[in-house]
Amino acid sequence: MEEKKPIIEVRDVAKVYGKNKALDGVKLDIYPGEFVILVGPSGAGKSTLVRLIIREEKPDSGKIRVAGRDITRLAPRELPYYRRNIGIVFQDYKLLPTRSVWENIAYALEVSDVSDEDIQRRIPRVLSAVNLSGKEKAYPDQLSGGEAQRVSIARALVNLPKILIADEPTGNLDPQASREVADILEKINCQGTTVLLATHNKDLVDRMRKRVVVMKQGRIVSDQNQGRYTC
Amino acid sequence: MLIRIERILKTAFINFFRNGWLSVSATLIMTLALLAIGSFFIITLSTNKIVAELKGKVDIVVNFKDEATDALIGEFKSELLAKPNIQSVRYISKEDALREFKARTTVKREVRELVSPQDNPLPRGLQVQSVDFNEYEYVSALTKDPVYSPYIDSSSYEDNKLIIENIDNATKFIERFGIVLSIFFTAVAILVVFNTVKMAVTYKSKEIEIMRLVGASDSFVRIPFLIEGFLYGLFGLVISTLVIFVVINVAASLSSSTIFARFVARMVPIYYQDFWFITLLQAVVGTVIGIGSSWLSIRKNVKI
Repeated sequence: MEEKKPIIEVRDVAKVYGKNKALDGVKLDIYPGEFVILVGPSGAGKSTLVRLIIREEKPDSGKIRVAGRDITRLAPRELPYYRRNIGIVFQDYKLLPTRSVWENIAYALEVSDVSDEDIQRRIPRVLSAVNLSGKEKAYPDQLSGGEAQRVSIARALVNLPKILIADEPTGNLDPQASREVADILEKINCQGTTVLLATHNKDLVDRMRKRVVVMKQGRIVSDQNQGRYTC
Repeated sequence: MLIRIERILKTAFINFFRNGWLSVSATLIMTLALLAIGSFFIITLSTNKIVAELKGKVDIVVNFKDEATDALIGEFKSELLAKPNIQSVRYISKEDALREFKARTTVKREVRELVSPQDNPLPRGLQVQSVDFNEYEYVSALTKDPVYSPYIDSSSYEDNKLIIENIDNATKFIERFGIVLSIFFTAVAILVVFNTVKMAVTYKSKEIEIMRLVGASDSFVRIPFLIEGFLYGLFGLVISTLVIFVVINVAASLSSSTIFARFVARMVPIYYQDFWFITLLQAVVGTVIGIGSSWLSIRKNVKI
């Protein structure tokens, strides 16, 4: 795996909010096909790092390269194209409340100019991958937390991204629903998608036995293959 | 390209129809604003037309003594016609004057019969009509000119002076008041609509954020909101036009002899005559403030 080039390359990245150093010289390489779990207490900098990788914000210094491209230099009009190529999953699902499950997933394809036929073909496939076949017409407020999060994952997957980034996807879920989400993420990873999962769900981390990167006070303090939750 | 336009339209319609109360309240506010502007405009238009008609009925007559030659009267007439604001100058011959006098029902019959073509004391005259009431003073001044004054029998200017001044002042007042009020109404309407639309956009800022995160381009996020703003204007226009139409017709059918009812009766044909103009005006205002306030709200409230 070491011979390959990293798909996500974080180099000496720093980010300061007021007097608070959210990230301080972070260096991280993630290789294609890896499953990386980012752990750490609240305020450790996990979410900040995720926001920088999805280019919701820019670092104060340092570089982030994704799929060989320096994303700190993306122009605003290039952002939509960048985001269509990475799947993003959030703690609060971020589903459009006035759209059904089908429409929420279709929206991600519609903005990418995917044809209607393609949309009709792809959505049932991702819905079945997240075990939600039959829920197409439901609205977000009719779904349980676990179901809503799986819709969000389906939406992230439907554009067939090479990278899936999940920021505390189980934060609002009960243990059963959390396990389901984790299983789906593992399945996606098995099919070749690189997964970066930020979480502080200890059970999940210990059960998955993946590469674990521990953050504390804006720095990476440990990086272990088949790691455990150690903070 | 076509599919993108279709999807942007679909997004706009979903946003509009599935955010029920938000769209209803924004449309209602827009309706009220357009109602205010529309009805105010109709009233101003009607008042202006009624005043213009009234002005058309005002004239002054300059009467000449029998010694005045036709050439002198002709000269007087051409001096008046040289003024662009003087609309018409009609020559009244002795015969015309007699015919008009005979037709006057307000004069007693016995008096009317005293005057005959053989013994006609009525003078020749010039009847002057002007759009600008200030010109009447010029006419009056001209009658005092030493060239003409010896031949002038009388002028109705002094008799009509008060009426002329009153109408003139009233017209100027209505015009100025109308401009101030319409600016005020439009400004209030724009502010209220702007705030409502801003509220609607702020309410949806979370959705806008989601759209951006799933990779929607700037135009895909922005244009549906502009279309929504346009829809507020469009529905507001339809409702306010219907309301004005119904109210005017109901008011006109309630026959009574109050000044208000007479004003409404006069207003109805003016409304029908200018219906498309008024509707177009409302459409322009509705569209501009609907789209404009959406655009400003997105720019101001949402970082894209």
